[in-house]
Parts: sequence; structure tokens; C-alpha cells
Amino acid sequence: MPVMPLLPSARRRIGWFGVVVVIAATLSSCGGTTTPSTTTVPGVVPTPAEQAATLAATNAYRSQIVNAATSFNTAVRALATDLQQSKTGAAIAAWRVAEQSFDGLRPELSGGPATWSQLSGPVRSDGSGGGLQSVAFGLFHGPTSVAADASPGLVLAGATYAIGVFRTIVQPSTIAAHQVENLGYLVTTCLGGNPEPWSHEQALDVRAVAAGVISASSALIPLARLVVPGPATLLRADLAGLAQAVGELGSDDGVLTSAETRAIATKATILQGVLGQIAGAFAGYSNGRYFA
Amino acid sequence: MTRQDNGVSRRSMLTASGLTVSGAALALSVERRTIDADRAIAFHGAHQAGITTPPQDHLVFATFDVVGSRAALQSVLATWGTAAPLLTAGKPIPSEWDATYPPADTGEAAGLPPSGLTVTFGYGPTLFDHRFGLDRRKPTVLEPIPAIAGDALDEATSNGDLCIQACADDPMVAFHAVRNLTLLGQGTVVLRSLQVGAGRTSTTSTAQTSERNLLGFKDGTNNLTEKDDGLLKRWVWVDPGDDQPWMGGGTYLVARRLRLDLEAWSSLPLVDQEQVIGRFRTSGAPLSGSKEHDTPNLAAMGPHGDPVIPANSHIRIAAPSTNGGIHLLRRGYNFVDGLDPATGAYDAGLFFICFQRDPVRQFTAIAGDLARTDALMRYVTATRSAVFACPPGLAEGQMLGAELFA
Repeated sequence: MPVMPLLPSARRRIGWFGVVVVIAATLSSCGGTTTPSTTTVPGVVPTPAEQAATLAATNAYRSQIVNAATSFNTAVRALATDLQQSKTGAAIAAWRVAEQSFDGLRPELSGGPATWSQLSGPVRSDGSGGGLQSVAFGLFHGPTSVAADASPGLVLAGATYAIGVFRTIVQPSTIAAHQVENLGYLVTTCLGGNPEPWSHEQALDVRAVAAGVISASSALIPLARLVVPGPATLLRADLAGLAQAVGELGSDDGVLTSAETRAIATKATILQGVLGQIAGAFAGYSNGRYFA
Repeated sequence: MTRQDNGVSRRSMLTASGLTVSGAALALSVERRTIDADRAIAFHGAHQAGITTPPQDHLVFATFDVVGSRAALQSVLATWGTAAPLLTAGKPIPSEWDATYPPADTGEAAGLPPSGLTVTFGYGPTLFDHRFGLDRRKPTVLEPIPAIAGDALDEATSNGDLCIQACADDPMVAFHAVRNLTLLGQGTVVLRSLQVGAGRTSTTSTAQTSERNLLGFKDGTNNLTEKDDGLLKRWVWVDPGDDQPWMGGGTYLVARRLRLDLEAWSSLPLVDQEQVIGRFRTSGAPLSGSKEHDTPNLAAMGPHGDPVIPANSHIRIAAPSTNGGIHLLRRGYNFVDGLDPATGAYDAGLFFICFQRDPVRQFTAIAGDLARTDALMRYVTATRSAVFACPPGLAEGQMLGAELFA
């Protein structure tokens, strides 16, 4: 029976209480059944309701990530085929799906920026470097051969990284922490910087990243209500605030106005604060399953 | 009436004129320790100052494009090399005091002591292209830093033909140096980028304490120091036999403007921050130790079989022991450039500067590993990047750039 590694925040609780008692977690041998965790530390004794909420949050997030990875791989395969057959319109539609899917799975891609770079690609004035940026350069700026040349690499990279994503089990504390980072990506990369220089479909990205954060964070609310009711209420309100600001973009995929940009950035920054608090409060809550 | 003020210190000028200028009122940060403002660091020497000399509190880093001719470039370099020792001694740019002409010295540092000013010059890769006939002098390792995963570089302000690094314990003194050297090059060089840094993030001296970066952590703990002669010779100073003989005793400067996602970082639980860095925030000790300068025990395992210093923590990935023993001499500064006007987020971070003997085998090799595996990189975006060859120091009477045009 493997020993469950504690989340970083859990170690702080151990420090607070001065006692190191770690009960080994149960890892389902067949992987088909998820056993609620008995892993805990003094001061964090999950009730059955908390265990159920923990399980629900982790399973919901896993589904979200796996669906995004599946959607990404389907889209880039279609993209490559469409480009081979010179179906530019269909390729643009597939690119949009791939772009949105990438935004959904990015927080869980192991390797950080190096992996993102392979899938998203660098922004270069000649469209070189591969990834979704090169495809966008070819589709929206031209020549389309740049997109056709980049698409096989995307298919291969997507398949490779999906292996890691499919094995990902993320615990509630980490889900919250990753959404903090994801909101940073939303502000600094999707809203600031030089977003989508070729397609100019900035709103497409913003909606996709925000949707991923809102979905993942909403799944944390039931556990948060049980563990930290006050921040749970704040989380719900702040998620609604971000959803409203993004909803006001309407259906236009284009470039955001400065007022829209500032409004969404403000809501995202507020949400980071409460998610950080919740990440700390969730330390030690685990569904007992993990992959190294 | 005309008068030569060469040799007159800025302080004596102040006294003579009866003016009162308070540099302290313009300081960007509160001094945290006693600083000898009268300290002057010699410009002349075997190596340029501003490399292994103890870092001052303030930085102004400028890059330039050369728009003049080969002869004009040669003249500007020679002028810079003559003016720099005056500035580091706390003297103004000499001029004829004739009010019908613009003053040669811009005057904002009048009355201020030397403040430990150092001025360090560097040549970028593009200086050695066809424009000035210097291609045969180009060191082979002086190549632009290749794109690193996660970079979002502004091409218009990255790189450059020349650089000046001015460091001082008074920000006005550092800015004054760059401003006046730029004026001396007017018509031949134009500014390409300018970075102001406040708050050093490294030390090259055992007499200095480690300072904190904007993430709240002590930085540069395991940096090389001026006393590490053997390591400096191996990893920082270029040997004349390396490539271009004129670079013997020089070094290569890599500068990266790293924007930090401070909002996201501030929202991370402290323990998660410490796992990302691999050190405790308060003490600066590695997670495997209890004191700042404890050697990180990268093999230490926790009670549950996981590494005490996580596999993707910054200090593990950046440690010389995991990079084939490679060392860099770091000399970076915090910067706060206000807000991103689009989002309202801080435009702030670390202006990373490091010196090395071979940027390809040192910085570029390590940076690639950092981008692939360092957990910290999720919160870091490089927005500007450059590399420069810093020639060796000058002897008195020697012209800056003479080695290029010989």
C-alpha cells in the first residue's frame, strides 16, 4: 500500500499542530473504484460528506481535463486533414476548437511553459516555431503552407501530452492553486501582452480560459461550503462576477475593448485571492488516489 | 566668462554655487543599511567594474543602436571610456561654462557623492555585422539568446548594438551617468531600451547579505563571490585563448527582463510558494536545511518517500550540481514599471543579469532546463532579452574600443 504524499499545504498543518501522524492512503489496486481517503493529519478529519465532496471535485476536474485533451486531439487531427485537402474554412473551424481545448487543458500540462510552447507555439513575425500560433499565422495571415507544415507536429505533440493528462488526478488544494495560476495566464497572456496577433480572436481565448476556471472552481464549492463556509460564499460570488464580465463580451470573438479588458482582469484578480485562501484550507483533503 | 571645471567634484560645485539639491528626496527606496556614499569604485582595472564588485542598490541599464559611421562609433567609444572614470569619481562631464551653449553635464547629480557608481560597457552581436567592418572581431559565442519556451519577447527592445550598465547606491547618480553618456553619443547612438532597477537581488561579496526579490524570497544565496578566484576564472572571465584575444579578461553579459505574475504568486499558499522555490521564505534556508547558506541536500527524502526539495523546484533545477557544475555570476535587480495599462496588473519583476565565460554553454544551457521543468516558470515571462560582450577593463590612458579597431 503506497503512502500518500501530502500536498504542500498539508505540511503546514502538521507544523501547526506539532504532531506528525500520517495515515497511509488506500490506493485502489484495480483503479476502477475510488476509495475515499483516510489520509489526513490532525486537525483535518474529513467527514463522510467532506470525503464525498472531495471525490466529486476531483472527478469533475479530471473529466474536464480529459475532455479538453480529447477535444484537442480530435481537432488537430481534423485540422491536419483539412489543411491537406485545402479546406481552409474547415481548418479555421478546427483551429478554433483546438485553441479553446488547449486553454482548457493547459494548467495540467506537465513541464509548464516548455510544453505549452510546443502546443501553443511562439509568436514570431514570420509564423515560424510551430504550434497553434504557426497554424493561425498560416490561416489568417498566410501563406497557408505555414499552417500545413505545422499541423503534423501538433498532432504528434497532442497525442504525446495526452498520455500525461489522462493519468492526472489533481487534489482539491492543487485544483484551486492551479486556477490561481490559470487566472494569472488569463490576465497576463490572454488579456495583456500581444494576444492572438494573427486571428485577432482574443475573446475566443478569454472565454475559454475563464470557462475552464469557472468550471473547475465551481466544482470546489460543495467542499468549500463544508470546510470554509465564508470563503465558499465569496468564491461563489466572485465566480459569478467573472462569469458576468465575460458574458458581457457577447458572441463576438474579436479584440476586447479596454473597458472589457480591465473589467475581466479586475474580476480575475479578485477571484485569485479567494481561490488562494481555499487552496490553503483544502490542504489534507484528498480522494486517496494519485499517480506519481 | 569661461571656466574649465574638469577636476572639480560635484560636491565642490554645490558648495561653490550655494545650491541645495537633495538626492535623498529623489531616492526610489529607503536605505536599509549604512552605505558609504563617498565610496568611489575605480573605473580602471584588469576587469570592468560592475561585475564582481559588490552590487549597489540601484541600476540603470541602457541598450543602444548605432546609427553613425564606423569612425563615429570609434569616437563615441573613446569618449565614453574617457568620461566614465570622471563619473565614477563623482565629477561632472567637463565643459566650458558658457551660458550661451547647452551645458555639457545635465546637472541632476550636482552635489551628490560618487555613491559607488560603476559603469560597465558591452558590445552586442549586431555590432559585428557588416556595418562597421568588425565581423572579423566577433566572438563565436556572441550570438543572440535563442528563443526559450514561454518567452514573450518584445523584439523592438531586445538585443542592441551596445549596452551600458550603470549601478550606484543613489538612483540619480546611476541615471545621470547613463543620461550623460547617451548625450555624448548623440547622433551616433540612439537608445533602444532603458531599464531602471531598484533593489539588488544578488550579492557578489560575503560582506553583503542576501536581498529579497519581489516574490518575497531571498535571491542569489549561492552566487559566486569576488573571492571565488578559481570559479571566476573558470566560469566568468574569458581566457585570451578562448576565441578572440581582445576578449581576454572580459566576460559575457546576459540580460533578461522577467515579468513576474505577482497577483497569482501572492495568492498561492506560503507552503506552495516554498515548494516552488525549494527554500523557506523567512530564513532563506533550503527545505532540507535550517540556515540560508546550508547546502541544499537534493538527495534528501521526506518521510513519505518524496524529495524534500521537490523535483521541479527552482533551486534544484538551477543548482550547479544538476547542471554539470555550471556556474553563473548573477547581478540582477528588482524592477517595478507601473501597471500594464490594459489589465491593471503590475508590470514588475526581476531584471536578471548574469555574467559568464560562454553564454551558449552556460546561460542558454541552463535556461532551457529551467523552461522545461522549473515550477517557477509558470509565474515568469521574459519580455526582453539581450547578450553583450563586455571587454576587459581599461588601463589609464587606454581607449575603449581600441581593441576592436586595431
